[in-house]
Amino acid sequence: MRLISLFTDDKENIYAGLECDNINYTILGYNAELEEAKVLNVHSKNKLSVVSFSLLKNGNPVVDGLWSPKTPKEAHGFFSIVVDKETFEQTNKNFKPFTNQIFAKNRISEAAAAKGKGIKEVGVVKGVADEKGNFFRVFEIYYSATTSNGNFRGYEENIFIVKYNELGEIQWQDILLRKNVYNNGEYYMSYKPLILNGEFIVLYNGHSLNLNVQEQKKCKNVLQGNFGYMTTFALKYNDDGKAKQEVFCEYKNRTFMYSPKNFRKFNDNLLFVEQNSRPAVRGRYIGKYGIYKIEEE
Amino acid sequence: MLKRTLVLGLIICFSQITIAQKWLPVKGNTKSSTVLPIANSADKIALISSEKGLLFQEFNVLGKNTFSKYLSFDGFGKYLSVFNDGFYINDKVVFSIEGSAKVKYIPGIVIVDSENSSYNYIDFDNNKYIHKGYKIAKFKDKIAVAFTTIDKKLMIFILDEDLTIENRFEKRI
Repeated sequence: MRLISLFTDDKENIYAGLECDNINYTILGYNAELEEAKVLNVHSKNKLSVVSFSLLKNGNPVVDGLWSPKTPKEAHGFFSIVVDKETFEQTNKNFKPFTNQIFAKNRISEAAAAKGKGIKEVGVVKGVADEKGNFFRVFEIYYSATTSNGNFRGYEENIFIVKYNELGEIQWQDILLRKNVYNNGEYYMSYKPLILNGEFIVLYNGHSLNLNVQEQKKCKNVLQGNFGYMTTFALKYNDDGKAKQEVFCEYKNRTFMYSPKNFRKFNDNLLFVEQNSRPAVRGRYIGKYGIYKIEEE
Repeated sequence: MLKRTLVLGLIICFSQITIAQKWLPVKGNTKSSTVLPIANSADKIALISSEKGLLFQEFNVLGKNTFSKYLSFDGFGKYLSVFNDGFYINDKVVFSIEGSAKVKYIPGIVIVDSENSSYNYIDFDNNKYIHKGYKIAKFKDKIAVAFTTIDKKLMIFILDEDLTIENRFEKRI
């Protein structure tokens, strides 16, 4: 049993989202004023994985993540299950397979996808919600391996993005091609979803020549020792899910590079940012921290 | 050459949001690989550095160090972890720590009051074996804490700013 998340509303309710045995999930709602609890075992004929729990703007809890008809180790699409806050029953179930474009960019044919094949190693979910109640989930492929000489290798690859509306319904989904390779497992920079000036943005690091790359075979690797090519990008979305990739920061000073995972937003114009030394200084990555002002042109 | 020009052209025409070249360094004892942002409000951020003990620091949005204090804790075992899921309550920073002793995990809540240069903490070591990983959440002006136990119970505590337990709930799942 694993506690995945704890969330609260402004009406004395506390909710806990739990993973019970890798494929079964439970949501518990506790009213602190009435000292009453309700429990719902989230059920589906599909296998669920990388599950998150949150609250919709109308106060209904929602469970979302990845699903597969076969095994939770292979993601086949995005899902959401909305829970009625009063009756504590599942009211609205949304299960959508990945688009053909997402399958194709992960080298899975339409025929294989139709048979239920999924994408492996999709995890590391992060989320953000906008003022209207829409919420966005971002996943990345992350896995590690040991090289033939026994060294650790971490891989952060394609990024998956899904938008849910204020009712928890899937609006659109997208994928970004990427391949970063690290020798130090603790040092991966991952990505950061943010709402800035009302826009949904994903900040991430990748190869500078991967700007707007659309084909997996053209997606270039960035190796840890090859930081000269590393750039921090911003992937910006409009309401319809149309993406625009931009260079967020180019590195004039090649001594340090950004680590978006530890960025924090003060407001739409100010970000707390972390940089890390490149390469490691005496085997250690040294962090530098600062505040950057964002300006809209 | 043409490709590079094209890429450069795309970069220029897509750059609507840019970062001004104004870097405000967060000045203080932050030259470490272990600094973790644990909470922020609209105008302040709290960082923890685990170098030379646990150093709590607060900075304003101009990058100025407004408060620093070394924190020490008793009763959390040999290893102590800090997580980045803290929050501000009435200008005080609440964050979670987790100690471990052999296979036993001990959750804890810390509250730092920079205005009065003080801090307080509570542990939940009640001899129950607790799963690694627990959660905290802001609950109005209070703190909600939840964790699961090896005997399959979910436990929820509600604490006030003084870390007094106001409400406690447990249920076997």
